[in-house]
Amino acid sequence: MAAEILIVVLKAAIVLGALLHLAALTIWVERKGSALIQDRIGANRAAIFGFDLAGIFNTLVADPVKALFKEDWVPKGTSQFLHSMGPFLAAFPVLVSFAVVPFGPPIISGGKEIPLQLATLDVGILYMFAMGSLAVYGVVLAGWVSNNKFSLFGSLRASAQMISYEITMGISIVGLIAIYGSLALDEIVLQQGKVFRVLGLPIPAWGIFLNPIAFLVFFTSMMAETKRAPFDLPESESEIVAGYFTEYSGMKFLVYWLGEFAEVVVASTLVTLLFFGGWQLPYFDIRSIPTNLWGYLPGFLGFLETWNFQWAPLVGAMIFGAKVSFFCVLQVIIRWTLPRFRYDQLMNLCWKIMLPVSMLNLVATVALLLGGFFSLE
Amino acid sequence: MTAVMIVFGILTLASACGVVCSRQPVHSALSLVATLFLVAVHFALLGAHFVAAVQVLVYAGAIMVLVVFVIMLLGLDANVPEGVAGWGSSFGALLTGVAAVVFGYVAISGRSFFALKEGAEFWAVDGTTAGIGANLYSNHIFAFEVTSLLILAGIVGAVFLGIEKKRPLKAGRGLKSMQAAQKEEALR
Repeated sequence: MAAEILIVVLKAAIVLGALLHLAALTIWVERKGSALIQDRIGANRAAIFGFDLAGIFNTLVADPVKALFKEDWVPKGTSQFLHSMGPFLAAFPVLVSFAVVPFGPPIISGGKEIPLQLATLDVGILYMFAMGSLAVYGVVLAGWVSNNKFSLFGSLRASAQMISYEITMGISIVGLIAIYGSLALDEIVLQQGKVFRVLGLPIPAWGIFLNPIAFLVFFTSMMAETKRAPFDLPESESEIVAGYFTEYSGMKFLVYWLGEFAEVVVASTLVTLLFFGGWQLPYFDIRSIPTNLWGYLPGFLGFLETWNFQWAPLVGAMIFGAKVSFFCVLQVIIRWTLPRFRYDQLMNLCWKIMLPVSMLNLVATVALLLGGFFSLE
Repeated sequence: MTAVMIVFGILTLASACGVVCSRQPVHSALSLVATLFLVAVHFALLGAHFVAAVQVLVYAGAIMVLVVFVIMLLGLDANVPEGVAGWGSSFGALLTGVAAVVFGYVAISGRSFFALKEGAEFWAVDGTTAGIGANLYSNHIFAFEVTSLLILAGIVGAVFLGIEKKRPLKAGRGLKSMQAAQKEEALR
């Protein structure tokens, strides 16, 4: 019993730690990467013994410390309690949505399987969507409680945008779920280890190959859900100051910011899990790596003859982390490449282009599925 | 498990009270969000994970956002006029009181007013996604289809109301023509 509790606590620490660290590193990639893209130097002010580690000390040490010591300013005439609830409501759903992510193949210990997943829900993907749909309240509350027209405009824009894109996000992956036949994320990842045949050629059953249109719609919707450029209407600096968090300063602002980057990580995770095979590699089952590498190693490592180690979970987690990191960086690059949409363009893109496309895609996918095109083997 | 249920039951009731007790419409709406979320927790405790997820996704996540959105858009605040409590409120309070007494009696005594028929029994419904899907698309397929028709009618109605009229309506009908008429009057 104690061992089981310890395992759960360890897994919770790993999952939450990984999410927060990835979010923080994405902030660093954003600060330094945007500087590279725009031919600037970027964050380089803070250094310890002359080493600034390419701005890591500045973005991940100096800035949070500065935010902690700043005055926490609350606008007059509003509820102090609700004002403090805003960042919490924005960050909490994003952080807990990581609980159902399978980040590697199970560890086998004493005949029992320890899944590398905090909660093995049979509705994992719905749980992540449900938590994502709650994230809008932090934004809405911030706009209302700030007693500021700019904030209110920002949160009105945000709520309309997030609701609209949730619809296309949901519809785009229904076809994939029909192919994989499960809502459980671990099952979806396992299914992606299979192959399907096009003209006799085996192609890995990743979502991107099964349903590329769904990937485009889903990725665009996820980018809109994270409220970052080109979809950063809710906080567009040139129109409405900073949008919904105009009246937030110090650590509260930083929590909003961290929540936004945690959303970027969650978006990358969902894309990886649904469309890029999770911890799987194409054509190679990493669970078949032997626990004893004796015989594959050069002679001078002979002392390792009796050393057994389960490589599969470690390698799987590293593959998963690499894929997620790739999509985090990709989102940063997209954010600094594309200009902001106008609001009518944003709504037209969602309702007049992406919604019909994803519905037609759903019908076509199900027709192909019934026709036996996607027979995974 | 029971302790968790009791804690979340108290929280659910407290936030449900918050819906009717707070004067700020936004506070009421946020309390309702909390209530719906906590009801989902009860579903999850009963093992119905699919229903719990859908409860959060549809009610707490989508419908309540629209409610909050409208409240914020209309700029409703705490300035509730005095004396809104008419006979309707008294009637509602009476009904609620009766319901509270009945539910309290049942909860404390453990007896039901409506005795089960001879031979009737409760059975556990499969709360998994597959179980609900199989049940919904076999036993309840007619109700399901009729409900979808109802929703379709609602969507068509909303689109009809929201559609932008290409031709101007006759004077006196519609906001745009009214504004146009006012403009003409001002020009004269």
